[in-house]
Amino acid sequence: MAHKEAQGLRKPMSDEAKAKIAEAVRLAAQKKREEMGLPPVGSPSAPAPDYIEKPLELVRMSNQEFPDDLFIPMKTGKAVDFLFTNEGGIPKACNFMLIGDPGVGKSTVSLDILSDLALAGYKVLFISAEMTRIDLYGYVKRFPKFGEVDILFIGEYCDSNPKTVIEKSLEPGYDVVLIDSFAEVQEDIKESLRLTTSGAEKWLIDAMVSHNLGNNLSRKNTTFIAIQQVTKGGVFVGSNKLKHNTTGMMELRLCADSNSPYMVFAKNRRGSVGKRMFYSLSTTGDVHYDVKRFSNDENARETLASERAQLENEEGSFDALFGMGLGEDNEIGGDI
Amino acid sequence: MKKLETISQSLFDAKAAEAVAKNPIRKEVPLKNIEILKDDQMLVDGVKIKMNRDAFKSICKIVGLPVGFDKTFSSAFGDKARQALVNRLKTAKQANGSTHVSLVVNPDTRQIISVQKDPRDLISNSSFLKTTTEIIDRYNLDVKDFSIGENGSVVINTVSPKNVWGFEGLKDEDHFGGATFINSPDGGFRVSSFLHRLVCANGMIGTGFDETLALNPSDPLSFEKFYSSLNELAMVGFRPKGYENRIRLAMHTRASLNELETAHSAIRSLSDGIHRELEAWVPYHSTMEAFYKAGIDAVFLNTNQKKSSRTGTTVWDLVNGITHFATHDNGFTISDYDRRRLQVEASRILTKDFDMMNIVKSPF
Repeated sequence: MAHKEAQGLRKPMSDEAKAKIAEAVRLAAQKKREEMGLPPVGSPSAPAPDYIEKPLELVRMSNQEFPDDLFIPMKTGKAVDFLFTNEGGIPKACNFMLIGDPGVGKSTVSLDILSDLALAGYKVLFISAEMTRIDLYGYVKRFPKFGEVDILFIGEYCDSNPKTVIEKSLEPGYDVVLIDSFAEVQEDIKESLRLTTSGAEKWLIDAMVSHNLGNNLSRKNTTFIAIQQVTKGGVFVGSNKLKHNTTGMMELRLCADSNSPYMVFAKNRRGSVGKRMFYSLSTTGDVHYDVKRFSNDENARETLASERAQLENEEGSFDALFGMGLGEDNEIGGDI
Repeated sequence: MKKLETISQSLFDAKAAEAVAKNPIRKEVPLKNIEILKDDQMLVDGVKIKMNRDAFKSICKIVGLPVGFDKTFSSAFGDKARQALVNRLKTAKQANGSTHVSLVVNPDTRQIISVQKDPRDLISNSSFLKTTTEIIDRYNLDVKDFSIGENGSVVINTVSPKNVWGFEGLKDEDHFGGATFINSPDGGFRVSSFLHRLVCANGMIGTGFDETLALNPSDPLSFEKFYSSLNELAMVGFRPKGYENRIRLAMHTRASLNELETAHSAIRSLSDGIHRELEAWVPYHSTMEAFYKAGIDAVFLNTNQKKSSRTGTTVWDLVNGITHFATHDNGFTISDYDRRRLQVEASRILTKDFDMMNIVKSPF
């Protein structure tokens, strides 16, 4: 033993000492987290507190007042407007998720929408967590209008607190913010702040909802369009909370017959679902929407709906014509 | 060149209202609830309802009885045996999984005019008109005529004034391309080329050509294919692919006596024109006389012999005779709808295998 001490070998640490060190590390981490305004580690999975932080307020909508302008959708001037809302345009204070197969054009389509809104005079921001400024430079060559959009490359702030970076960038207030992608931003927050996945998701959703309500310097009721990743099977990877907090879920798919890409809302609280809008990315400078095909689909949909109603009416007329269902047997129709 | 006449918006609207009012009515019934009582009567849920010949034919088709076989069977075994056969086939069909059919009734005559497998295979006149109007507007078509049949069938002929096309080396064969929209209780919604010959202003409905499109309203994908094919047809000025070849062939092929007789009887059955009055359009009597003078009393020839009897009229002249009679007011009484039927008949003659097309001149 003496020989070992003389050789400088460390004496084994007692359990009590180990516990003391662990407690000191935990307290230091907790202090640091408190300084950063973060909840304790593991708190999202901990049961919710049994108190309400905010005074309980039951809302009666008849007492609520919002400016009329809030309900005027923002128009891109393209056919895609009629996919978002029936009156045409991107609604304010909403959150849209955009999912789709790889290579179908999620970033291009959403940037095209954002650029058109910028050209129409709306204040827009693109939060890019997937592309670098070099990646995007190539895009801009093909789609010059993308060059006029304000962009936050979140990857360039890997040494900073991404929460603060996002908060600061959103602070001025925007009409529309595009996030590419939600999962990547969520991952950045999760890793930097050592949150759980759901904790990071909650923070991002809360931030979006807060800006929906106009909590920013210019009191803009921001609409978020967030690209979200899908599993290999094409299924949305977000939680139920994320699904519930979205106004609409837009899917970008490839048509099985023609292999042409189209967009369709699987969920949309402000417009219709199931309407397909085919588009093409081959035209340089703009995403081209196949308005004729959209109109054909609309006609088909309307025709099918009106035919269902017509058929019911006709069956009623048939019964009335021959007195069916009235117990009158052997009535002879026609002139025999 | 004769002036292209089109109908006014007010006339179109009036016709549209009439077409909607005459819309046949459909009802889906279980196959087990119907029974054929006679050729012209069936029992539906215990109620006897009259039916026309087309309805009887369509139910024979549904139960799998070949067209024409019902007549052969009837002449051999009698009408009752035939009805029993149809009812037995119906029962067999039920066992095979076909559980329902759709009866289509003319509300004015209270007569079944068609029997379909699925009521959704047909489309109401109001939906037909809505879709047709949208297509007319999209392709800037002019409505040439709008006809309504007794059973609520609708035929609308349209032309595209910007689509004029001719054929190299063929004088007087410039045409306006256009589209014919048809909705009928037996065939449903169809679109085909409408061919308007400028020199004589004759019109023909190109149902015989491959480009005829059918819309199946029960299948949402059918709409997509329908619109896509329609667009392709519009891109070529509504000109059917094989039209030029058929004209050239018809110009160089003599009509058979059978073809002449078919055309003559089609006009005669649909108008009040009688025998020699129709010579200007179909020279049937002069042809028969020519045969007679040559020592052949063609009255006694059977169908196959008539098919092999060459006349002095080309198929193209025959087609033009029918379309001229169908298109213009020649002083005969003929309904608008029957005029359209003749325009379809002309197309059928032009697109079928001509009787004389394979005749080879023999050295013997």
